[in-house]
Amino acid sequence: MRNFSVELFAEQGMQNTVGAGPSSKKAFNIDIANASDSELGALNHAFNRHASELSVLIDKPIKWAKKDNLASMMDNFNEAVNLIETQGTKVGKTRVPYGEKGSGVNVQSTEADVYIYQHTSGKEYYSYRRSSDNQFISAGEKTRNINISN
Amino acid sequence: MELMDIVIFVSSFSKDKVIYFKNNFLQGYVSSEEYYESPKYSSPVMFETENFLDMWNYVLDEIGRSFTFYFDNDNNQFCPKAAIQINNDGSICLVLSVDSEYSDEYQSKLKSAFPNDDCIVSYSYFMPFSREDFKKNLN
Repeated sequence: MRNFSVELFAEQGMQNTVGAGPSSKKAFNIDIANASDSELGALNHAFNRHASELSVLIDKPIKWAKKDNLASMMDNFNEAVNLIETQGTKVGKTRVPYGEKGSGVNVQSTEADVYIYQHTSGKEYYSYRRSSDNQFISAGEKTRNINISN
Repeated sequence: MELMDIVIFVSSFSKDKVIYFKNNFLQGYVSSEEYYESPKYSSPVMFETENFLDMWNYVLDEIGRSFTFYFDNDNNQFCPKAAIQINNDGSICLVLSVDSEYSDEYQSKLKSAFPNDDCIVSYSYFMPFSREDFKKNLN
């Protein structure tokens, strides 16, 4: 399956340095064959929200129960996130809400490292990694200002 | 784009609430998928189809049939995505994914429409697969 996201960034002569950058921890590291419903649900959720804006090619139709091509699509998603973090700039830290609020639960927040990558199209892409353990939080097209602290 | 999920968790199966949510909050939204399997993430698949309506009618027909529907609306920049998850135990997640600046507005609308159900604002992934899962994830 063509890795569209790599080609998108490669247009600018950038090298694919997957795994060689500051954030080599994969956004998703799921054993697809033995994945739980919640793990696949989380992956589906991320695909639905961010895959198209990250130019990750999604092999439609996706047959989740049969797990057709899921591992390679997950790899493509991870590669797109990694490209933001290796070709972009770590601009500082921000607090991001994390978890849930409601029904008596207060929202938590966590400190996140912020990576910003500007594509030649002018679009900017962000990635958040939890500062404490480099855990992936979110990535996508940057459409609002991010409060950065250092 | 950074989106927040506003999740209405309906603890007991209600076909009426699902239809109400779709009719009143998802006008203009289209299904994100082209193939539907129930259950969605595990085997054996009990029902599969390429037709959204077939799966929609299948899961609403009786309790114990699960599926997660995702919807898109490219014409709504404040709430471009939504989801409906029907779980095996009959519990339901009704989800609007919104721009954070508009979360209060959408939260208010959903709470008014579903005053007796839990309303959760999630900044990560929160679509519990059962009542037990819901309680466990909030603790």
